[in-house]
Amino acid sequence: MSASIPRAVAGPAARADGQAARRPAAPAAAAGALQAALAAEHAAVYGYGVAGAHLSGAKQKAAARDWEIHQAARDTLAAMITALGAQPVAAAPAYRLPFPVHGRRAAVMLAAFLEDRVAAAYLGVVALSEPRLRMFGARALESAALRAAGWRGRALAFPGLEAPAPSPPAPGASGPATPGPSGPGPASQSPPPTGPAGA
Amino acid sequence: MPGDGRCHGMLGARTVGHGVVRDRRRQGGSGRDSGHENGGGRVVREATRRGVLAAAVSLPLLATGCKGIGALGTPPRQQPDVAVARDAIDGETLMISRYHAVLSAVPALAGQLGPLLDQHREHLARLRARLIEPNPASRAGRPPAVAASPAGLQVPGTPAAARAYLRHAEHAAAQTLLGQLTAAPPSLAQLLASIAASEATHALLLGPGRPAG
Repeated sequence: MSASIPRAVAGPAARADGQAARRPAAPAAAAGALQAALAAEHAAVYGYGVAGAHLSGAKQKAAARDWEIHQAARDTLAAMITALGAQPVAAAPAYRLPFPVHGRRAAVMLAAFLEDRVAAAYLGVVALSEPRLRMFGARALESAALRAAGWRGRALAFPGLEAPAPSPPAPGASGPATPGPSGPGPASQSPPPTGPAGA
Repeated sequence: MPGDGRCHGMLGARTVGHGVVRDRRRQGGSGRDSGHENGGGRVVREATRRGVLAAAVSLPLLATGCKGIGALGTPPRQQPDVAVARDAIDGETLMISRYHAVLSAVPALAGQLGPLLDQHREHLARLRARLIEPNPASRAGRPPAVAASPAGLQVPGTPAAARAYLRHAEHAAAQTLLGQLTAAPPSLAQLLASIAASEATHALLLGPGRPAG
């Protein structure tokens, strides 16, 4: 069985609704947001294993470093969820990748994609009302955004909130690994159109 | 009825002089109230809070029975999250001024700094969309915290020093936003955290040996 790279799973509200009858609302919301972050960390640990296999030299070292960072984050989140009295979500045996990864460029783009998804998941933690958890989520969001920028070579305006659609590198393309504007592949999940409602 | 028209006109002025943090809804969106997923994360909306804000401001006007402007009394106190949003707007405006000042002093950096400046403009637009403020220029007792023109800012004249100047400014701006995080309602906190993360990546890309943008 394989799972696709999660989109922060269901989000804290969906889980909070299901647990509201048994738990106070705040811990349930916290556990839900942390579970979503944990699911994204599980996916990142898996994905970096794939990416690292297609990289070499400094980029492979960077992938190994980030892989370890996500393992540590996974363990931290699992401990936090356990402390809240919930059972940490388990990793899937395998994950469906957003695009085929057969070379260095796709591996670099996969790493950026994984960080985008992790950043989005931690944004759910930022929405929690407990100040320490909110700051924890914001710091983790920032770390993911920094790693994504390192892989992508450029910044995003709204890390976690908006991300480029995952798309495989164009055949024969050269230059920096920059995701295209869209990639309507089978696993692609284009973010809906966004824009400020007036300015 | 003429009286009805007057009353509606008064209610339409309910935000004058204070301001309300509003929930940003995507134009043409589905209109669901329970939040949406965008690229993976749950983005919180606060329809209830917005309703409460609107009601809190409107009710005193309704209670006056449309007796004219003199019956309005003291306007409601400004919500703390309005101050947070305004501070964030001032911070982004200052960052944009700094970029303009650097670009005036070191035009050769235009190619590197352009994408970062564009993202600050996006930040500012998104923050302004959160704040209903009919006439921002009339903010009583609150002079703009920002130099009106880039000429008001002293910036280094060499590319390396100018990049370092902006790098420190980006880092400080990100830290300031994080410092405001716990005072903001959830959806505004998410926006502030995302902008802080973006500014942290700007600082990274402005580091020595890295091409910005």
